[in-house]
Amino acid sequence: MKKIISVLLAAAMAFALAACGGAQSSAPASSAPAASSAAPGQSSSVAAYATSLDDIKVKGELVIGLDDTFAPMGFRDENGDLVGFDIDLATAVCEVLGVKPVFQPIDWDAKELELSTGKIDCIWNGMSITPEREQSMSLSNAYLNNKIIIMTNKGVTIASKDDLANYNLGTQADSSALEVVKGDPIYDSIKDKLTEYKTYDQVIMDMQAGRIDAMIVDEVLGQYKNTQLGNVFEVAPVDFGEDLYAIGLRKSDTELTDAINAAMKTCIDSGTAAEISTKWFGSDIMVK
Amino acid sequence: MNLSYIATLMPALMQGLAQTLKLFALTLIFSLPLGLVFTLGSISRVPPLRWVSRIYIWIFRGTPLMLQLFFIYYGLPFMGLTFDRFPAAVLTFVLNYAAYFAEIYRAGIQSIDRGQHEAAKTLGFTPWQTMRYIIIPQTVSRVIPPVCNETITLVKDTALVTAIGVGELLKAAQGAVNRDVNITAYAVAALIYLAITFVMTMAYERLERYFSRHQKKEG
Repeated sequence: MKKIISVLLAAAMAFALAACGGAQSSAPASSAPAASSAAPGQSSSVAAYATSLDDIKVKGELVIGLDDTFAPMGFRDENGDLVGFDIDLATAVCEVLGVKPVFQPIDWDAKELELSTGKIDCIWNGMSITPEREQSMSLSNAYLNNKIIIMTNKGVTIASKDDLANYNLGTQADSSALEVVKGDPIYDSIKDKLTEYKTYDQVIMDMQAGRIDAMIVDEVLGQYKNTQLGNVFEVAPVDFGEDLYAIGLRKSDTELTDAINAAMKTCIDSGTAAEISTKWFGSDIMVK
Repeated sequence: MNLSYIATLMPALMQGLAQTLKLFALTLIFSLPLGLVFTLGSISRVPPLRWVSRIYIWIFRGTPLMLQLFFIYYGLPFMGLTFDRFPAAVLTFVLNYAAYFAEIYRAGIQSIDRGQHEAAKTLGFTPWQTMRYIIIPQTVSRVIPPVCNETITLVKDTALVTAIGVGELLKAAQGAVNRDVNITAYAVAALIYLAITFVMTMAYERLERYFSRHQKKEG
């Protein structure tokens, strides 16, 4: 009898603990997948992490979250130094703001969590504007003009979006390309043929292996990869329209967003931004 | 494969390797002894101690390590406890691996014949002395193979810490693959992991021989 009681007690305790643990861990657990969907309420629960321009100036630094394996926006060269278009641009903007940029590598899937828990001040890493991000973050003005294109293996002809249904397709999960495709009427007819990968590198490997025929990707990234590979892919004559990049801040930090917008404008007006764009992309594709 | 290209990959991979080894070493240093604490707790005659230890082991063996990383790094700040990336990674790994080691030790201790406890008691040993001088020394040689197995798993689990933004070997390889659109870096990383586990396997074989030297004499 005593044994049964102690077993029951242990079980009760275990469940109580599990319940607590469950409640506590539900915040990170549920917002990890929320990286792909809007996280309502997420920003309100972390109002404590509000950051103003003054806070940044007192700190003397702006902590910028980025995926440091995202060429050509932000990546590491052979010496392990961070380089890329966004690195140069953020450095120029921070100079105008009078603070030091601190680049913090993060896991891209956890970017919303990094921001809402105050680990970083902004996400600045070739991040496209999507309706969900507009909801969950305070976004800066669009700064870069990009386009969602279709890249194919040689010999694959995609003359119109309707042709997509005849081929095996790939794109990156939680990417702006996927977002745009999902919003397109063609999505229903191609969704069974469209595989989502964790990274574009995996999409490219699968294309080279011949298991997929085409990928839907943003132009900046696609062209960079294609150049590295010696132009093994072709660009289809149809595209999914424009894709604009913005900087993401905490929903509450609108004042800091305005300050970054103003500093960005200074960089554009002075021609610094155009120089950086030409250095990385061969032409000025900044949003004016 | 091109040797000069591989040479250009090495600085970044070596930096990643240093982080991997640092996390690996710190995890072992703290989790090996902490595991024993939970073993002694889980076989204790004091019910609350036993319950706490067993619930601890249940929670840390029963949830994915990735989720634990997320919880400690992103979840605890909501409760006012904030760790930097690397300390959060070490803490999670120590807590997780201690649970596994605790179960390995328990299996080792309970595999010792009951008669030895009784014999020790008749010779006037206290339970603690029995543990310290009779049971644990015999347990060591029995638990070395499973502990070795678990530490080899640990080498590979270190790759999970990229989830909270800590760089390590696999992440460094991914960065190079992303930059150069060339998968050579993955192959090099695989060879490095294999080299580590090879050295570890050799080391554990020697340890095993050393700790089982008395048993061999009997046989």
